Amino acid sequence: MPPYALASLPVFPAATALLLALFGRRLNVKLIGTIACLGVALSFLVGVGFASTVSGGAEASFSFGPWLATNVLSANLGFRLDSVAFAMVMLVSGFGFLITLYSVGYMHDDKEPARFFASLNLFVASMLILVLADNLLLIFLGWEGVGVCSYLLIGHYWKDAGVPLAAYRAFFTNRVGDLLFVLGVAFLYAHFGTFDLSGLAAKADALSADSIDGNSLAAWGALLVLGGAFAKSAQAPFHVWLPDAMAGPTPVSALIHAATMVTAGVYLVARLSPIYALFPQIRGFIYICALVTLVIGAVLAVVQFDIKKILAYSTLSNLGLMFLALAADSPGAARLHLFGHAAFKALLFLAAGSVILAAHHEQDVRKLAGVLKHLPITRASFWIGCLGGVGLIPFLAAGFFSKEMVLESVAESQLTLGSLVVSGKALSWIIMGVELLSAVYMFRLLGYLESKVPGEAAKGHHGHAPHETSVTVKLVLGILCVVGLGFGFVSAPPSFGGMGKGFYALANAGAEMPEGPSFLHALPALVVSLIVAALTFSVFANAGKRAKYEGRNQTRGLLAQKFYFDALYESAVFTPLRALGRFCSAIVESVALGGFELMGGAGETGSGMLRRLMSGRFQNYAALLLAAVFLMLLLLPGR
Amino acid sequence: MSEVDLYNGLFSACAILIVVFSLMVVLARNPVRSTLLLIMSFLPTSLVYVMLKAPFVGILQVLVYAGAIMMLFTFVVMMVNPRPEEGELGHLRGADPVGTRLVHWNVLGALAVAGVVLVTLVRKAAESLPVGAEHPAEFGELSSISRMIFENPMENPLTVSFELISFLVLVGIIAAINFSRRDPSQKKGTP
Amino acid sequence: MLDFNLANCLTLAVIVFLTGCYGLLTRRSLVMILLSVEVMLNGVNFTLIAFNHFLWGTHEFGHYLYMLSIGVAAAEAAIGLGMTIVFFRNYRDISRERASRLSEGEL
Repeated sequence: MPPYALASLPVFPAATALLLALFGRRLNVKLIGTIACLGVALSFLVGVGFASTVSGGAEASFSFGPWLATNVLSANLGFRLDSVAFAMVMLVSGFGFLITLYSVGYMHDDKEPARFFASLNLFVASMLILVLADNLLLIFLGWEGVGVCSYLLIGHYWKDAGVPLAAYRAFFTNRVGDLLFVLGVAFLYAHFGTFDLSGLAAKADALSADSIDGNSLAAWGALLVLGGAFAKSAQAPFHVWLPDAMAGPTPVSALIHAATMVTAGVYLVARLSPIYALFPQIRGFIYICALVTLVIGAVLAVVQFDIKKILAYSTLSNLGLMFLALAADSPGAARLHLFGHAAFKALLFLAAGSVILAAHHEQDVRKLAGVLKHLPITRASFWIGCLGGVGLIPFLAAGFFSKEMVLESVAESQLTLGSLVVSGKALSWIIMGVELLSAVYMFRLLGYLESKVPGEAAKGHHGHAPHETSVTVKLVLGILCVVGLGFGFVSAPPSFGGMGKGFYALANAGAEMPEGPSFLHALPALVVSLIVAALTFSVFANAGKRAKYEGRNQTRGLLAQKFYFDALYESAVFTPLRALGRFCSAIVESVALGGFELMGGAGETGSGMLRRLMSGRFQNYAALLLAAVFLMLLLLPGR
Repeated sequence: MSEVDLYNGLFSACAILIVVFSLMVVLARNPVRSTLLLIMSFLPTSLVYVMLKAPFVGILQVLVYAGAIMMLFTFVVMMVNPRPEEGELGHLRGADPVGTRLVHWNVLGALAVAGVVLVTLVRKAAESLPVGAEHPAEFGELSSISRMIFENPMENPLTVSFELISFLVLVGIIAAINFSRRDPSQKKGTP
Repeated sequence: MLDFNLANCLTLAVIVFLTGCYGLLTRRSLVMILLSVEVMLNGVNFTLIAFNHFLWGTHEFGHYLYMLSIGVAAAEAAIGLGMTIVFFRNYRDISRERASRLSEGEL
């Protein structure tokens, strides 16, 4: 593939997005879906064409030429495809294509399919720009693009109660992050003098943690960019938008809020990992935030009843895991888990979508109890996805090796924050304990769905049991089952046969894969997880046993209030902001509006006087003209 | 009598005639008379032009201005046939309503002030300005003017602007015709 | 006896011009107003020739400007009179009072 083909990668979906946005209203759903799929599929195929370039260890790059060229700033508009970006391109366009295809079935009776598919295509285009960009400014363009598309797609059912608010929340949380991001980019530029990712990495590599001041512009820049990444990847304290984002259509949750967009922060921080390697204090900060997110996500996922919310909190928890790997300065493990998570979480979301579709948009797991019995392909998907999510069985579970890698990298690192130093071993035990919860929430969900006693929605409508109808939904679920199963093999480290070496090298620019856990080391955790999973499943698959866990603490308490984050924002951020707003509006009303009224009154009086000059008699005008000419004559200089 | 005295005498006579005729133009009640008086005022003007070494301009003043443009006025006045204006000069005879009289005296006062100021200014300026060079032999004659305008026409800006004037007149004529054409949608005979 | 010099010529022009102004501001018939404008123009044209004669001397730019000026005067007269005729045809009246009523929406 010639380098200029890189430019076409985001252009295809962007073009179809434009096409659909302009003319989509007149087309029917199937045609719209076909066009949308075509745009993403073309990107995917062009991306595949670069495989030979990248597998040889080479890079493809394409520059559109200078973008900003001033005395103080200069940036290129260019794309660079190394193997990391290639893996991301495959993830984005491949999953993008599958999920767009899935949406054709899922959105078949939607009122505004054109807007949906146009936004979806635009999202893929923006995400491709984000992963292909060779400098931070261009990344910011894609960063904003995915934020907007996320907002549009969360708000797709804008007529439903609460949906606009959820979209707003996601958007504004991301705006705060975007602001931090831009500031951070400026700081980094001020210190390193470049926007280039490779340039930044090279300059950071030349430094060491001892040689750089922990209070320098670079440190602040890294911290601010981290804020942006936290907002995009829903890390505490910016995590509040992600569960609300489930108000969007389920394919959107799968693509944007599980597989791709929320991992943009992970991708970015992993790209900049040479910089973060310089600042152990910032990594300590990442440790704390990621750990908090991990715990919040895992704990809250256990008490949710909305099928999508369970998955959303599980996503939070997994994102926390990725950031823990980044905090341990092990971007390889973070990337590996990014792909593993995408594999099983997209599958789970799409399976949940299939359930929701079959049960006529019912999302409460209590009502959906036993629904899987009627949906064979969805059932297989759920099992594969849940196994992957918990990482239960080596090879067969997508998340097993990637989680192990994360744990191992954490165990080898050290948490430093201020004067606090915690050994990585202790941390890894804590994380392992929290990860046991993933077995609980996943198998709680499975238990509900596999329950013998059917819930209301699982009984079906008008005597028809819920059933899978859409061909594309079934097809995509089948493909993703294979991907989910396959990823377990693809991610195997050397200690388990090393089938994953190739993929790891691809996703990490040719880095050597670490040895990985020994089987004996993994076995105890595995056994405990298995026991927990089996216990949970047996409890929740049984309507009588689970009854005593339901209905407890539903409206009050720490868990129901989601650890009081909303209340905290309300009292610490929004209340002062509202007070400020009221104060400003009072000032505006009294001072500014008073001023305007004064000006208006003066204008009215003045115009009343001037109006008398405009008598409509032409000789008055002639007299005025002559008088004016006369006065001008008197004013002539040098008379 | 020297040549200078002759010039001074002629100029004085013409100046008086011009002012008197102009005043009569604006004061006459009958528009027909006004028009004819204006033509009369152009004749001494053209004589002064000849004295100012502008014989061609003097001829134009008579031929074009008095002969063509004023004929247009005469025709229109005859076509429209306006009545002599009632009360136009009434303020001079005291037969006018108070308001109109006031307006007239206001205008006269303002113009008198403007006249005094302007004349003072103009006279001071005229005395302070340097006297021009001697006139060439054919100054002001048709040959000299046409050389100035049409000599070397491709590079002479005067040529283009002079030709453009004909466009202006053409546009004026088209506009006038368009104004006074009867609306074809109206019935014949109705005004 | 008036001297034939620039000052007197310009004074004459000013007087003619102001006479035209008086007519412009006080006459009631549209034709008379147009005639007054012609008087004013005559005064202005006079200054062109006088300046050219007394101050310039080598070229006839003033004469040239005079020709432009009567071109404009011709166009103005044609249009003004055309409008007067239309006005007369429509209202049988060419007084300024009738014309001013147009601005009050009375057609």
